Amino acid sequence: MLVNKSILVYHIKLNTKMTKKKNNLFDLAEKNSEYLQNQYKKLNDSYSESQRALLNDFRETLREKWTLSVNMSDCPLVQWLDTGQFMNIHELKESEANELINIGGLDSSEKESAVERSLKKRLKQFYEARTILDSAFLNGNKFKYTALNIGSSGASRYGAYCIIIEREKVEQYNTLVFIKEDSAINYVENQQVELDRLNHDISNKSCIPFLAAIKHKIDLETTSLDQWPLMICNNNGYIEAITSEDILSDHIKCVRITKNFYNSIFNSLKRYFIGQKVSKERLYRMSFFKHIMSELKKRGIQWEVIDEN
Amino acid sequence: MKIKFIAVAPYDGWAFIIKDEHLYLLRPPYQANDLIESSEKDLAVAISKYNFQECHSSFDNFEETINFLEEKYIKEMEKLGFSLPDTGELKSLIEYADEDILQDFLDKAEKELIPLRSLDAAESIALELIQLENVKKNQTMFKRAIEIIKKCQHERNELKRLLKKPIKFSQKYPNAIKMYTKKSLYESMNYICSTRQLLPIGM
Repeated sequence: MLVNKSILVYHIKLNTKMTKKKNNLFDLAEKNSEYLQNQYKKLNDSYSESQRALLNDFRETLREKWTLSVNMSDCPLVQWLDTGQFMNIHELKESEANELINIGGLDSSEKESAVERSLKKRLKQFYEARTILDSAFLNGNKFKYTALNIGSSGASRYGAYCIIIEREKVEQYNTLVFIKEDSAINYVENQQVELDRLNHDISNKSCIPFLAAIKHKIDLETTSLDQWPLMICNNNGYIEAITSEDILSDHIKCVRITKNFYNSIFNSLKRYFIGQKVSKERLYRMSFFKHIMSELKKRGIQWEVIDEN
Repeated sequence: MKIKFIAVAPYDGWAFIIKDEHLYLLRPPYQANDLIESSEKDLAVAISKYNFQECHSSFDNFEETINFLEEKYIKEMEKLGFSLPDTGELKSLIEYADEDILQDFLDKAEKELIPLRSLDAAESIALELIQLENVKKNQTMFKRAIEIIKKCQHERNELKRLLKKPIKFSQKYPNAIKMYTKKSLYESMNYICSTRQLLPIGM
């Protein structure tokens, strides 16, 4: 009788799991296209002739220059170049678990729980928001979180290297959406994804100029044309881009480095050249920077220095 | 002034800290500009998406805080198998300097090091730069580096010449010669030589 009860509980759990339908994030974006186009039209209709010209310039700039970027520090960048693949946090923890299994430090049957434990340990209080979002959608564990970029050094607060993905490669991604704000921070409330808001703040590739125009309608007039890249993607905000495709290292078009970070490396080198004392930390930093630059050179990846100010 | 750590990116030496009840991001090279006021939202994004990990240490001042971050960074580099680079390897980093940086190096040599007679340091910069493809391609910069080398050689020759040439009394003490006769100056010098004292004591 006890065995039968357990089987019943198991079946109930299984059925609940099977019946709890996951949303397809990429379908949401397709469905929202009409709404975004209408909103853009309304905006355009409400504008004066000069405002309309500005809006049109903005739309064309977005259409011409949009691509994806990810900000990161030295080590994740080297890891990406070495493994050939940009890994999200789930994939990273899974790869670490696989390494442990290979050296006999973990039993393969415990892999799933080990990955979860490791994620909890790493994300702590932010574990819920991340997993709520990732588990609410089909293939959520494969999502790679990037940002829309039209020429800035990105959210450099989180890493001095801004990796720019080749537009041609991005256009071949079958799954790609853009969300008005950072998803984990802005669209997870009371342990669930706020789908009602998300449904209208999401766009596919072709509607990205509309989403951006709606988001920045207030800043647009007061921001000069050369500041548009920074307005789109900066330390305080960006349009998040999510794909479940593999972002390979040969998809990297170039690496933008913040001038502040770049200058600090060469200031240390200048001190070293003229025989002034340079700390061990600075020596390592210069050495690691050189390693990164030579890896980029070896792979034919361009780099550029961007002044954040 | 207690400084409390909230999160750190160990491979980077970046950290979110709390100082005077405000949240900041502290990043290398840890100068005044590298302390950036941040929000809870920035911290959440840093931990959930980027390489930041929670860390709960606290320090009494910035010096201790920076030492902690620097040591953490060194340990991580050593764990990755990096060893301290040799001089040649480090100097070759200049290969990745852009034009602004190269001009800055030349400025340093020309405007600071040569006037200070740090001729070896100035020459070392110029010699390293003229070997770079970017400098060879840029004739103005290449000529400037050559000029620095020539100037260093000229300064050295000039110094040698001055050391060899006997210096006249009027050249060595141009102001004294305007006020005193040579005879009185020689007398004073003799007096100082014999007493080993510049000014009378007890005045």
